[in-house]
Amino acid sequence: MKLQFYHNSQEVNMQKENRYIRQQALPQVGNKGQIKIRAASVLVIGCGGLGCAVLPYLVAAGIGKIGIVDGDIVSESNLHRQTLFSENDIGSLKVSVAADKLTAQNSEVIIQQIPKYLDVTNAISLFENYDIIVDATDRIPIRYLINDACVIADKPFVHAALFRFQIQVSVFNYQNGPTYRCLYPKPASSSQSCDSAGVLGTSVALGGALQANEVMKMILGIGTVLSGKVLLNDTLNNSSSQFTFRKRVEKPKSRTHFTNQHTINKVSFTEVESKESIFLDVRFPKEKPEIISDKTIGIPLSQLNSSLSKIPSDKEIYIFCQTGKRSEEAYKILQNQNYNTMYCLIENAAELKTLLKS
Amino acid sequence: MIRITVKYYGEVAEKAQKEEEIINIEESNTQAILDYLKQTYGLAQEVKVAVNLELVTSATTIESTDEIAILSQFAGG
Repeated sequence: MKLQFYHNSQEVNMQKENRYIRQQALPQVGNKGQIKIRAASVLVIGCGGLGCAVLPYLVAAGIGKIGIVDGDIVSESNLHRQTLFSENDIGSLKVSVAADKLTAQNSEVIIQQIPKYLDVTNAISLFENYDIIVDATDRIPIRYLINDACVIADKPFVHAALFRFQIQVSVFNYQNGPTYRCLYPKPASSSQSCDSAGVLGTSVALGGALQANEVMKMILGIGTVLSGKVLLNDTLNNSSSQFTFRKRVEKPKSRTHFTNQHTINKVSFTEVESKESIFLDVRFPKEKPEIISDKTIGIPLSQLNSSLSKIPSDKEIYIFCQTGKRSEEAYKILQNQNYNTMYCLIENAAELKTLLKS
Repeated sequence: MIRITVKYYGEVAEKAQKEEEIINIEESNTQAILDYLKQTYGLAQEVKVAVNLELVTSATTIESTDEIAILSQFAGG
């Protein structure tokens, strides 16, 4: 029995020694590199197309601790590109399914599940527990949140984003290098996610593989990291270009500024100046008082997701309701749908009616 | 007047319905390209202009032989 135990543990040791032998064989890795990989921790934000491509390679490489942040559940339309998920997983939490699969893949790696969406309240505290942040999200506003939290927590983040067959990859806030705001100071007024633009699983997999490769280079301290450069890869014609950009010197931002900036934008009706604006009433049609103007669109909150085509994405949107609660929910829905210039009005319908009269 | 070749990527290419075109602009600088894109395709000023693979942040003088590319933010993932 004792001999048998000894034999088994020898086998386990042999397996562990063999496990990373192909990457350790690289002169740029070796035993020292494997120790660095084992000591590293990476937080992946989003377990969609990019996340499902990044995670298995980071886990396979033997990174010590990997966190996954996503509050979403698996749906049928995910399956063509999110290869960690199977038909039986539909309806289950993505992070939970991913953690099970990844633990089965490499039990040496600590997988931390964070079954929440990243937001202003949890971003900095989460980032502080990891060495590198991977942006595997699919909305523009969240990328500014990741960027700003990375600047405060002093963490580098590896970015990838797609439009159909094209991929942009870059590494921000690496060794005091440029940030996402240096590349794109302001959010685009509208831009299409994979939901609306469409994407092949193979394109998003390439984006995720490029991200994982940047993570490995940073951990190992090898090669040239895509800092101050954005790689643009067109998978349809196999062309790629690297565009350089410079760091914009900005005053350091405080945590209070971060919180204010990423909390729902609220403005008073009296501050609305832009002629290119619309007012979105998310109450039911029969709710009083009635607010009628040529700039007002009425869509009940419950119908908002299915009526987005009625809301122009190139105008400033000012949302209101009866008490302010539904406008905040509507704000989040529009934010998730990539509307970038919207505000909740501080005033509710009754106060607006009075203001409009005056 | 300057005649230059401009490459488009992502949603910029979609709005222009082409990946490359030769344009004539009055002034030899990147602001004139942004003005052309706004007037012709309704593109906002938030798109990025690269001159010889370097993304510029302010109006930059260009020559007809420069390689000009227009990028925009991608959202998908």
